[in-house]
Amino acid sequence: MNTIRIFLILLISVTFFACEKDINIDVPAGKQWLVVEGYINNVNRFYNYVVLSNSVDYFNPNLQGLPVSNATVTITEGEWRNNQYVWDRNTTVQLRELNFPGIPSNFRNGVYFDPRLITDSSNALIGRPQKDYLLEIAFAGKTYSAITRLLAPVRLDSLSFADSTYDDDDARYEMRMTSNYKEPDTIGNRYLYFWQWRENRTNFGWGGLTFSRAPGRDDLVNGQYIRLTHPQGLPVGDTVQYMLTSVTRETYNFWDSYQKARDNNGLFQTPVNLISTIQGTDVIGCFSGFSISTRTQIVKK
Amino acid sequence: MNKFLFFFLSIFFFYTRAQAQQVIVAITVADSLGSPLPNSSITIAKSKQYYVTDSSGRVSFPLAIGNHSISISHTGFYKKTFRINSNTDTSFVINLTVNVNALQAVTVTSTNRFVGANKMSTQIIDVATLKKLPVVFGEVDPLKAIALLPGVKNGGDASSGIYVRGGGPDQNLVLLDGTPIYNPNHLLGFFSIFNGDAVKDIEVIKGGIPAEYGGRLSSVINVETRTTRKDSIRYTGGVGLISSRLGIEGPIVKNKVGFMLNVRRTYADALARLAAPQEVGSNGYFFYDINAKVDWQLNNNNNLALLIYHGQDDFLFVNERFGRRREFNTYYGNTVIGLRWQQRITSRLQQTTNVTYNRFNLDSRFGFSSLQFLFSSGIRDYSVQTNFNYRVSNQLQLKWGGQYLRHRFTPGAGGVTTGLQDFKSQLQNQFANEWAAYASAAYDIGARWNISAGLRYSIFEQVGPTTLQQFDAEGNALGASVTYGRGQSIAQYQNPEPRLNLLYRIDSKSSIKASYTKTAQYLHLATTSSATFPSDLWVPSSNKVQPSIAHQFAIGYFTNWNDNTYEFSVEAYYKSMDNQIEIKPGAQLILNQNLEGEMIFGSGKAYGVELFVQKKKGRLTGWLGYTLSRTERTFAALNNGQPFPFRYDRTHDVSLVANYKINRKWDANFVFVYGTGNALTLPNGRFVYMTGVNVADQQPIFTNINRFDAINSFRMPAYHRADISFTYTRKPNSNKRFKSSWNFGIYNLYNRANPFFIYVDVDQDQQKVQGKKVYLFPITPSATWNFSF
Repeated sequence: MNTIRIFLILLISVTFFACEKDINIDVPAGKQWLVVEGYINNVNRFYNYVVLSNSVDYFNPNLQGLPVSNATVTITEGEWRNNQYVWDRNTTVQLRELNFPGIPSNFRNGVYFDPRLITDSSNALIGRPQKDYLLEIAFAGKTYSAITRLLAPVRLDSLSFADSTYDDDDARYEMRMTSNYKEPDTIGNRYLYFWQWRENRTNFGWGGLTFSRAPGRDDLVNGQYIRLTHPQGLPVGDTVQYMLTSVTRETYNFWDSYQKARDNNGLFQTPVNLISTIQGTDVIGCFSGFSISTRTQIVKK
Repeated sequence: MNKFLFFFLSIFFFYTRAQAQQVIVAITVADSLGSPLPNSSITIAKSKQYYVTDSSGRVSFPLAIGNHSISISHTGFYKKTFRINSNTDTSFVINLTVNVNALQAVTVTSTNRFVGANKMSTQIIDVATLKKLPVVFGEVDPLKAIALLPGVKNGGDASSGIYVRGGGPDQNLVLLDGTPIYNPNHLLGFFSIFNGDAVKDIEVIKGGIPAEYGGRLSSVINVETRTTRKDSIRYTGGVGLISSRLGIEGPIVKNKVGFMLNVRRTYADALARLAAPQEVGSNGYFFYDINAKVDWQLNNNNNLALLIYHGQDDFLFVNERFGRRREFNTYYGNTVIGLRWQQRITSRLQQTTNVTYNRFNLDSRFGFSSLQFLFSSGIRDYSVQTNFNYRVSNQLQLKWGGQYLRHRFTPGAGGVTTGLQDFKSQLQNQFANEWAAYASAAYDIGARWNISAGLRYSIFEQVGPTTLQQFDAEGNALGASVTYGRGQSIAQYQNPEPRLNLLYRIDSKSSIKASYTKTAQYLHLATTSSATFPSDLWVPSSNKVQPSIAHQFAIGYFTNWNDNTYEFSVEAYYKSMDNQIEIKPGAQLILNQNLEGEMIFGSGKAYGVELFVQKKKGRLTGWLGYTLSRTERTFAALNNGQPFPFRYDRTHDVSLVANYKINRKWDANFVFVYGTGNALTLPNGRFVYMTGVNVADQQPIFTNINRFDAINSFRMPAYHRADISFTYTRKPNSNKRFKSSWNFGIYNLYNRANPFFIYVDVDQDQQKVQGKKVYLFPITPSATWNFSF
């Protein structure tokens, strides 16, 4: 029986499992692009920043990107009035690369903050719902710009926890988090979800948070009361800060394409390019206006 | 006006005089057991006329009064020549005797048709050839076999997707006994749904498509099942590495009603469970299919045939971790029921009527307790088609007919459940009617020219009842919907589709042929390669989605020599394709009520030269095919609007097929294929996004994102492979009822690592970017035992 069993395993292994080899791929390099990652939100002044970097050739072993320093970066508040944007230049803030204590130096280059975060943080840049924001960048003789809007935040009623499982490795129970909110009865609302928990508590920046999108568009659930359960397991006793984030269609489309491009790396990748919101030549990225409702709760069984 | 009248009266006069000197001869060609032999060749020596029997083995033709020598031949049977003295209309049956040696020959087309028939870009592979070709796991696969013909390509080792002269896999009209098949694949494309035991032959029409065929742009792939035995019961079967087959056929009413039943099932899942029950658990993948047929010979002039096909793929993967059950389950399949009535109304006039039901269903679900995804799609057709064939005279043959199809689409019904929250697609079923009428005439002009001209007129109408959600030009939901009542027109299209074939016979051994074909396609396959599960989605033409239109021109030279031992042809073609449809990169098919908003539209063109040389007689038989071609697409929304190579653009494509009869018991088969690598889109740049920092570890956080500037600008390494197989028949001349044979094969003889796909692996920890090639089948032996009794 053992002989048969070994034969069968060998047979199935030989016939049904693919093999893999390293190969050299000769792909001509594309043009270098400026990459813009800009944020404006209504709850956390430290999370309003702009990251500038350059793209690299695909086979460049530098995986951390090429920071772009010494650019001129400004954000101006305004509003849509009489079918045009009116910018209040009195609100213009020039962002700069800052030396935050505790933040490693390799994160400081190419990351632009409001300098008042160090000198007068309570008056540093903060987004206001129903306002529009203009991002302007000047670098190497070229100018770039983008506009975003902070929508009215959607009220987050509560977080609830259910569907417990026991993690043998960590000897703890994990729960699934459900956010509860009323979807406004207007078509076209779009949401992103961020949360901070035990695993990313010491992280800084939007890239350090757990990120998710709604699985469907609001034309499927328009005006309904939403109970959205996220599949990630959260340990009982942990404290979660959850951010229900309303975004414009342009911002959502960018992050939707980002998620597809991110998930698309590796096997079976198909060519997904990001849907940029930045104006200018050889530039890609998004100026994201995040209108946030947030709650902080302890995970309970 | 008087001149025209005189002209037509003169033609009528000569025509009726010519008619008066002819009689009609009707011949039914059958094997020694009485089973009809379609596609048999009939040659009239004196007039050098050439005819082919229809699917019931019949043919009728006018013959001048007097003595004639008639030859009848069919692949695998002894040729029969006889004389008749025709002075009155007559009909008779000719039984041919099996030529065991001839069955060993690997052949594609019959001799006379190759040069003398006004039909180009058409090739047939019979089942005897199919069963000898070396194939992976020993599974006889007609779709894999036709990819060995010039101008026909498949996607690689694990793809039954067929690409004919630059067309996509959804542009082939795949017919099983006249009924369209929407997904001809098993095992995610590893095998086709056609069971070699049930198949008689497979015909591929790449160009010069006759007017009776329509609804697809690029080709007709016509799979005919075998005719049933009506004299005695016979069992057939085979035991292979991954599947087994069993068949039974015989009379229900002797010499009048016969039946055939063939079933096939894979058992890799069962083997895996046997080998490693703990590891495999309930996981597994299997497929099965059932082919059934009942033939009823009502009388000499009428035959009824009922065909039933049902096939299903089922894949289940379950993983449990931390007490959470993760499940991925997909199943899909086709069901076909067809009734065919063939009638000889007079000795000159025949009709065939098909009434069919056809269903394709796909259902995939994956997820776990708090997040579940569902994707299902389907299409269901009812259709009726009738074809008339009227041989007016030796010179003139008329065909006409019509077709009606009723389509019901289940387009991408999807759902996601996240705990308590449901996201359900509100897409409703959609309906469409498709009509077509056609007429064609084939006329001999003197001894050298034949012209075959036809017109197909097709109408497609998307109709209610359905409710369509409304979206603005940018694809944003408006929150409104429009409801259409039953039968209410939503969108309608009409297309005349002219077809023209010209034949010029240089002499008895060589000819030149040319053709023009316009085709229209109203159904479109929306699929995305980024989905990790089967996501075939057939959608109808609509207000936004226009029908696809193709024009194809082809010209070729055909010749044979050395008493028809060798055949050679060279064909050149040019094809343009409008309203080609692609799904946007990164499109969302699940839970998207605006699927049409995910589609982009463009055009395509394909051109090339195909060479084909075949040796048909002797101990060594086989063919060599070579294609030099180019296929490209142009989409405003892709590649900055610039043309780019179609993914399956293959500059060079070579196929060598050889069969050598070693002795009475053994024969060897060899296949070699070479093809330029598939075109591929690879990233040419990268950047970081979603940056952050882990303050505790002092480490940056980022995600690498790829940039793609050009579509399909990279070429995979060339595909080439050699296969060999040996067939051993223990007692080839035995008179015993039980017969068996072994087929031993080696797929990928020299262990070529042909890429299934290529990807680039980014190791952030090692700071390393490395290209990877995944290949499926290294050198793969197989053994299959076939039997019948």
